[in-house]
Amino acid sequence: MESDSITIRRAINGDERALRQLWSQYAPHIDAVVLRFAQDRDLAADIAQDVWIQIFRALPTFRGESQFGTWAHRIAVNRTLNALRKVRRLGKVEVAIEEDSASVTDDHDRGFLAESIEQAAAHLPPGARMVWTLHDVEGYTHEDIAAQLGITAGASKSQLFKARAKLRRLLAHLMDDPTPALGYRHAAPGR
Amino acid sequence: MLHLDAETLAALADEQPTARDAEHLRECAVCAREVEAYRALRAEGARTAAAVLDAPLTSWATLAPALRAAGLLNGADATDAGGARRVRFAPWMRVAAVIAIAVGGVLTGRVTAPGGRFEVAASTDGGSTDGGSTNGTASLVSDRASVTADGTPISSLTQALKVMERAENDYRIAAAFIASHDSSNGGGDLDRFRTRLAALDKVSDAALKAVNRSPQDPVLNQYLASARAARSATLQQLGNTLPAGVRLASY
Repeated sequence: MESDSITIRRAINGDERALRQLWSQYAPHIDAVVLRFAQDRDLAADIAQDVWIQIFRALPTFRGESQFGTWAHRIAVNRTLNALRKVRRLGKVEVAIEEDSASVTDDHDRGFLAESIEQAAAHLPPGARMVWTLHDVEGYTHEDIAAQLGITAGASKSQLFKARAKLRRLLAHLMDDPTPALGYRHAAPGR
Repeated sequence: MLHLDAETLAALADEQPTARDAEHLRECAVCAREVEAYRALRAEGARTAAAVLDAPLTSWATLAPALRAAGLLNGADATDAGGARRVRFAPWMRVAAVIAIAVGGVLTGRVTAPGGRFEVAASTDGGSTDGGSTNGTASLVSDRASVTADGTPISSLTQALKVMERAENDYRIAAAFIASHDSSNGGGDLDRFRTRLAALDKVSDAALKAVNRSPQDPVLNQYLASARAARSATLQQLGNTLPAGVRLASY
């Protein structure tokens, strides 16, 4: 199989085989990124198509300073956030960030125990989930997140710590040693 | 002992503790373990970034038309309205097909032209094919399989592609010249062209079906491209045989 750089050169010239090769190689990952943010599968499919068009449109600007997958990943995140903003999902998120402290603190999922971190994250309030995804999954700084979501860096930190605390509760049964002697279930406050 | 609250512990996964919190963590094994748990949680989150879907949300069938509409994908739609797959040729296939046409065309011309009046110059460098027999032509191709027209051995794929492109251009020029200057078929010999066109249509149809079954087969693609190119050239020749003032609108 030819290298990404050769495929990319052909793809820039509109070669269908090259474009399709890049899509088939990276779609499982890029589409997963989109779905992580959008949550709704139908919405994510629409956004993912737009993301791929944007990736291929921006291809001539790819300088090869990073892996193609990394470069495309970042486009996917930014484009998805823009798309969510257009469909007002981020508007709701921004409101939620200001108002959802109670919902994070008050555990509405008292009986729910997640089997994976992504399953647990789906139970976070939208604002907290968005901030957690951007920071702990995607590696954005609080300043980047603040700029993307139109909030302060302090609000981003606050939401992140609330999100982690809730994830910790939802995943405690998987993370903790079940031996009662460790006392985890009784020791840490806020649990 | 009062423990640190959950959000403070969560923050300590990647933030520096205050002096007071640091002192607490040195004395409280429970909170220290909890900080480690949050660090593990953070690492798990980072690993999530590499997650993939079993099946992508997008499909090439829907993405390709959008890319084409955006001007990012060249060529016609690979699928027509009836769902039948059209054939798209890689550049090397097109060029290879032209070479096949050039060689085949010389042979065909020798066989079909009355009195062998087709004289095709296959080289722009003054060389000519010694097409006295099919064996002679085949031998020529074989002997020169790795040598350019100027005698330089072909040593790379890039060089080979350039040679093929040049040959393609030469062939086009020669084919156009023949089509416009060939007078050997005058005298109203339309039936022969019609017979040839009918045969080429059958060859094209058969080749197309085969290519649809095996799209990447270079030999089948060569046959298809050859048949279509020959049909086009024949149509041009047919047009030249029509009486003055009569134009070939379609066939």
